[in-house]
Amino acid sequence: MTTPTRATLEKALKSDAKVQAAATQIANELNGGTYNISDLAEQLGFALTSSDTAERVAGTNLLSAVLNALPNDLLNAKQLEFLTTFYTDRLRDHHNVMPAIIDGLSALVRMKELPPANVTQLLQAFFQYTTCQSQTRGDRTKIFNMLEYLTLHFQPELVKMSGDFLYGLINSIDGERDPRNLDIIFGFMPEFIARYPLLHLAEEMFEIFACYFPIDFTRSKEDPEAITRDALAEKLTNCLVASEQFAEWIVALAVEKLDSELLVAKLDSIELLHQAALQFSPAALEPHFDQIWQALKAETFPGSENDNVVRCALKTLAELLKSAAKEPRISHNYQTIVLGVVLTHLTDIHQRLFHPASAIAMMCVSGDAAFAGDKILNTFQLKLQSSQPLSLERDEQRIRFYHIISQVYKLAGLRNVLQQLDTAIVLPLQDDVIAALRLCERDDFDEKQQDLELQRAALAVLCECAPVLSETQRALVYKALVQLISHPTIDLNFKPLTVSLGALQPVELQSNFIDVCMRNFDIFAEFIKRKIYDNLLPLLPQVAFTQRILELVMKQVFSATAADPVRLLALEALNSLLKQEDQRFVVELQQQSNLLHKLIELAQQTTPLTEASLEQIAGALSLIMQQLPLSEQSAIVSEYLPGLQLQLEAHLFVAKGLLGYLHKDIAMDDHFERLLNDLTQLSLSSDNEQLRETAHHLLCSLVNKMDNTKANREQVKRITDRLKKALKEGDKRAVDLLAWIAKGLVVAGFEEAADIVGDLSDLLEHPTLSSAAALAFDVIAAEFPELDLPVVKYLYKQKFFHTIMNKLGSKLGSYCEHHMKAFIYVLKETPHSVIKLNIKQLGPLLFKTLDDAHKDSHSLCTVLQICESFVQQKDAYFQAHLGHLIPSCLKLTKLNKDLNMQVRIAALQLVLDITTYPTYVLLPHKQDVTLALAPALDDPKRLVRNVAVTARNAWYLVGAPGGED
Amino acid sequence: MPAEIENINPSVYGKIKERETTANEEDEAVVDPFDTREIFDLIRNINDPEHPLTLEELHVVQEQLITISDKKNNVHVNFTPTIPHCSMATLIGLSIRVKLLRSLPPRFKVTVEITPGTHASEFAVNKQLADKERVAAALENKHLAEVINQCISARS
Repeated sequence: MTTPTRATLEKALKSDAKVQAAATQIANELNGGTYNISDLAEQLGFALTSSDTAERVAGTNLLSAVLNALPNDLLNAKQLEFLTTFYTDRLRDHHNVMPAIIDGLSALVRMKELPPANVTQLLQAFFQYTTCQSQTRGDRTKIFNMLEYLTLHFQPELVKMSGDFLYGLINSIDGERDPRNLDIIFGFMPEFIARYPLLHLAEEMFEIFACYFPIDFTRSKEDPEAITRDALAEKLTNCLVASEQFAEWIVALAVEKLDSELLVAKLDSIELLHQAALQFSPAALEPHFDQIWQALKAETFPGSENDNVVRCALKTLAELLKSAAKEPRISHNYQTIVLGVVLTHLTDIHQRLFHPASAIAMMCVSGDAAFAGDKILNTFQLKLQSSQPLSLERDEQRIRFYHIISQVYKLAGLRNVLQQLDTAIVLPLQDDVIAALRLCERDDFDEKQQDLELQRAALAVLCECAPVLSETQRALVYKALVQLISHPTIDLNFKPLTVSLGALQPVELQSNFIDVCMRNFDIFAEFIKRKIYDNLLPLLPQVAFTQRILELVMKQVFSATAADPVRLLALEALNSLLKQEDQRFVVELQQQSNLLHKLIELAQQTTPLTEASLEQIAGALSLIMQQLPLSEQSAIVSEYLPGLQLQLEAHLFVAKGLLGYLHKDIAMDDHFERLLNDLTQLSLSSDNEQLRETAHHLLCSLVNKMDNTKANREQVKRITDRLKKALKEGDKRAVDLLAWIAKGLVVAGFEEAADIVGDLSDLLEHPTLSSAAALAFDVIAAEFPELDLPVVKYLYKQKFFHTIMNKLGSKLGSYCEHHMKAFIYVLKETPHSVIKLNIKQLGPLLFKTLDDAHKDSHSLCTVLQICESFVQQKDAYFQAHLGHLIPSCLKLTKLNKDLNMQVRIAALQLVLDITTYPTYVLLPHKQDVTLALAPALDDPKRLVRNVAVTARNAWYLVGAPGGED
Repeated sequence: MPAEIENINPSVYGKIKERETTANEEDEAVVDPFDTREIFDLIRNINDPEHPLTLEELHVVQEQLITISDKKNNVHVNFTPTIPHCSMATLIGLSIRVKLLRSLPPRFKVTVEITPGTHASEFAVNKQLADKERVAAALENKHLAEVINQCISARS
């Protein structure tokens, strides 16, 4: 290949596509070194200097396209200098040529070898001969990209150009309207402003950004480059706070725009101030603080209606105060100004301004906790001293004060300045709080008339100020705590206080509180014992107390002489202990004391325990089992299971504890047959419902966890056959048991499940067992969180739903009562998405149920809830059938002797939820609904009337001026 | 919303706790009569036209100022404007009336009046509120209806 001739070049210039193709080819050849760029320029000279504008445009286009296609390290400094000079000269050319020139320039400046001096020359010419804003949008984008590149790579040269470059840049940006270009500009300018001296042009620079504030821009939906208003606003804010020189103007701008009625303007202004507080040094903002505070005060004191504005304004104020905290002089100055306004309003809790004042006061504390904390606490202290002395009357003021005081302490604690608070202020304040807590020690204290609100608030304060309580005060607190815990009727929660005191003063707490509790433990009433357990257990993780507390619980559980209620309490405590501690602790406990064995012995002791105690033991056993390693679980089962006689109550509960949450990987094959037989026998023969339920749960869990082997499945088959025989004799208990076995199988996804479900659905036509059979479907479908069913087949609920649909399908068509009832139990637990998929078939069934007079309340409520879940999501199917749904619901809102009030409430709730549909859908029904709801307003039950009122008022607002839409 | 707020720092009081559901209310067989608390619950959450506060918090409505006779089908509500020359008094009264109109069974005769001696033009306002046709006409006024609906709609 040789240099392209004039002829080939002329041909290439014919169309844009050809120019591109030729450019790629030429670039490849240049890159391969076939010829160099000056040869090309020479050959292309005819077009570049042609007197025909169109030809010049085409020629320049080709050259620029070639430059763009070249790698950026190919050309040397000399060639680049030559090209720069060429392009610089061209800048004076006809307007039409400009796009091509800009194209070339933006390629040129990215070349590695470009001599820095040329950049200056190029930019000067560029700013002199062209105006950026008269170019098209795409070209402006290229210009801004080029400028961004230059500011990042040629800082020394550009700084040398001083005002010229700044001025040119400002001129180029000034008047830009396209959001895509603004996105680029706002993206690179913050860094530029931060790195370059702005000289005398700082205000001009600020002005070109200020004019966009606040950004008002709605994105077109087809815009592929998703620029959002918020993203632009954020970038603009970054530009505005890029230099401290802008501080004065920013404050003026933000304060002016904050006055606007527009929510967006308000929020943007507040955010601008917030960013300014974050970026600028306190000294830069100090002269303007007064102005800022006045503006923020207008938004927060008493505050506008928009919570968001108030919240952001408070956040900004907090940020200002926080950044000022670095310089005590400025900080104290700010705090004095702000607190001077709000403190006077902190003394009357009934004034409208109390709440905003306390919110602002909290911001002061979060800025400079030591300074503001003293001032605020002092205000409360003085007010408390001068107002009425503590009495048993309800003291709203103290309660509100205490709430704020505890927050002040909390913030001071978080900022680590609790110790810096003035003791002359906090000590009397703490005295007051302790005195309030000790009110309940008075003889005339009647807890029936007190709501203990004050004591709760006092405890909250004490919990936060625990580290700065004086020794005398602590002594009083311990005394109060002992009184509280041994009080025969008051039950106050002060666990956080004991926990924090325990961490700070373990020895004191031990001797003054824990020892007192333990010493007299046996003589306390049950109510007090329960409180002691509640309050001691949270202290268990603290090493100092672990052993003592554990000993107490163990002693109470295993003491041979303990009365049953006392033991039950201790067992409950043991259960919550096992729940709150981690695995390591539980495993260690088991290893050290063999707790499991002791519990089993306790359950099987000769004097029988109550069912409640056995239930607790079973709970504790399963909590321990779950934490043990698999090998140990397996060993324990082999050790204890053979000895258990399941027909005995105590043994059954032990089995429940051991097996209920046994890991599914532990093979039970050796015991499986015996367990199945014994439990089935128990369920079929016993009349004790609780025992039967325990047996059912165990069976369900066992069947669910069994290994999928032929032997196991045959065992299950044998049992189900036995149950079917019992069914033929009309045994209702067999239906229950069958349902539970089916549940375990359905969840695990065994094939046998389908047969059993089939048998159960046949029973729906049985003369005596039909209602039990319907309930069986409830058992299978419902969730039982306390039941351990670890083997879960993926999407089993969907599968179960489809099985039922197939089995009952034809019967449902004719709306047989028991079939519908069973089916509704299943629907209740079916995932929403599955019902939605089948809504075309299910919809008519649901509506039919609502219309049918014979249905029972439970089914109706379930159906109404299903409808509600659809209506809340504005489902289109229900929207299309509102004409049917609304009258049915309205009929159900009326008093009906056969149905309970839950149905009326659910129906009214649905009528209320329907108002979420668009107004145009609802308007045709509005008149009828408001009229038809009038009788429900006079319902004998208040709970029904409450929903009726809400629903009717919501319907009145449909389409009304000032309503939701 | 007026440009100038007439009373910038009114006294604000706490709200009472939500009514607790009693065993009787759960029992289908017992009839729950209308009582003052129920009427109070209907109107206490109406918003003040000036402040983002409810009438309850401003003590404009109070439970002890309500009398009701379930058997005689009578409801009487007194309300207290925060200041004696409050220009919003009629509007507040209208809001209470409309809310009760929509929420109570039609058998009740509802009277809404200013607490005696708490407003400069008490008599005139009471007369307006008692006039059924004026109340109906007020609701025909689109702007007025909008303000009233905003006052009585539940705050989200």
